[in-house]
Amino acid sequence: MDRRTTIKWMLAAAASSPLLNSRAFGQEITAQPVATGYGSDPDLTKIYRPGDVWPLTLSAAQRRTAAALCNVVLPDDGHSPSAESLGLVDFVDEWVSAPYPRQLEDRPIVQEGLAWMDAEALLRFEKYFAELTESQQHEICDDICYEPNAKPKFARAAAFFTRYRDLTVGGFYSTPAGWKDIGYIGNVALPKFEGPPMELLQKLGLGPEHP
Amino acid sequence: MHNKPSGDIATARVIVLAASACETARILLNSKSASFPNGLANSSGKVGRYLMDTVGSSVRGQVPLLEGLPPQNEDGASGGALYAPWWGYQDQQKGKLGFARGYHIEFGGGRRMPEFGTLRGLEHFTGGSYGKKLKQDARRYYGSFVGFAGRGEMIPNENSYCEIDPQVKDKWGIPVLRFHWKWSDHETRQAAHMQKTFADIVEAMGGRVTGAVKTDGAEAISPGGFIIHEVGGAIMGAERRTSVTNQWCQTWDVKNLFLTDGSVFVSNADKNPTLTIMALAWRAADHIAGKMLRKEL
Repeated sequence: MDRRTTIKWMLAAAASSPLLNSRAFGQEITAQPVATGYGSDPDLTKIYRPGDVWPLTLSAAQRRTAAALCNVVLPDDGHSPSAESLGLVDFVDEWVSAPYPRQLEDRPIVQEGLAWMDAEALLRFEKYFAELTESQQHEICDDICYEPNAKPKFARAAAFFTRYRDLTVGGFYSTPAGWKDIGYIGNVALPKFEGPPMELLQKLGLGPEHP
Repeated sequence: MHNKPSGDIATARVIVLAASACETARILLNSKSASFPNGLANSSGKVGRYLMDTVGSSVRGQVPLLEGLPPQNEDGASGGALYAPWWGYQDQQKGKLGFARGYHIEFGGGRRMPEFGTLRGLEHFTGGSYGKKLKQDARRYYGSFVGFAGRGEMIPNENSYCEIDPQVKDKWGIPVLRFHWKWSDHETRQAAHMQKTFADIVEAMGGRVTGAVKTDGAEAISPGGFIIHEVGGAIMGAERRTSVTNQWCQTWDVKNLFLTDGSVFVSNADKNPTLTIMALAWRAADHIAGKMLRKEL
């Protein structure tokens, strides 16, 4: 049975059941890998790459959906590149594959959530989430992008979306490209400190009226 | 001193024990002998008693006035540049506050180096934006958050202490400590006062608090041990009946044993304990040197 058929079969089984929004897609979740982490002191002279310290565990299909969702959450807007192009899928994969409590908690949320995105895409448009047009992707995401407004049947998916957005945002805005986008210009030596710029003082009502 | 694995015994004119507050209490309590059946230097029964931590509570807010300000290098412009010492003495004297002792405020905010959690929870301001709108929102809100952390004094009490665990041992077979903890009203009311004060400041700046303002001090206060300023456990005092050391950090029971870490603190003032530990250790060292020169030790 191919994956599309499997998901359709699972959907059919769950179609009239409230399980649709619960662990109905638990079968998609791969077994927990045995990993020990890098200990208390990583080797600071080594450049670690995704998968070096513990195996990455998302399947190719999950990574495809994850990539599509990264680009829905933070697309290229001409001001900064897309989340996917900065390697955020590797980041998410490494995060959910890590053997630490916080990450172990996120793992089923992300895996179930990615499965839900595809199931919902198939239900509404007969295509996987990654194959949808931007407006189709937005139609699904608009229903789950803000937990307080989400309908009860989308509650679990909305909780996933919140977590996935935080992961994407957290990874994106801690890269040099993310810093540049957001206007973080610190972490550089200043030859001298001349105090806050006049423009800033005036905006805060602290500068002289006529500089 | 007796090294169990090797069986070696080391002797010295003076022993200075400074293993950090709790570990010092543990070593003393585990050092039982015919002369010290309740643990070394523990004839008072006060070793392990009066453990303290710092009272901690914090509030964060978002301030529209700080949105979209021209980017500048704001590294180091928070805690390094601002500090508010305790200001409430007069209200306290008038009996208005309901707690003794005080706290200081530590500030945070500005365009600090964005890290993993910096923009977490933005959906409460954006209504759940994603996509290009989320990127615009991130630019708008970054740097507009302020944070206030209170750090206050804890007064020692009878219900906060450690003792030797009758069952659990570490990997060398040495019994570990178990802890008992209870804040008094002085601490929980102080934490509630922090919450209200910080929320008032955020609102006075035209901002709004992120999350709930905790009016119940027991909810507002960080758990004991969380601020990692653990002190006490072998307090100094004027009487051997009620304390473990004298004013020179010298144990009442063993004249050549000195404790020079946070274990001797009799209260935990609002500031970080390290400098006070160093000052007390210096003072004790001077005292020891003088006594040794005079052959009194």
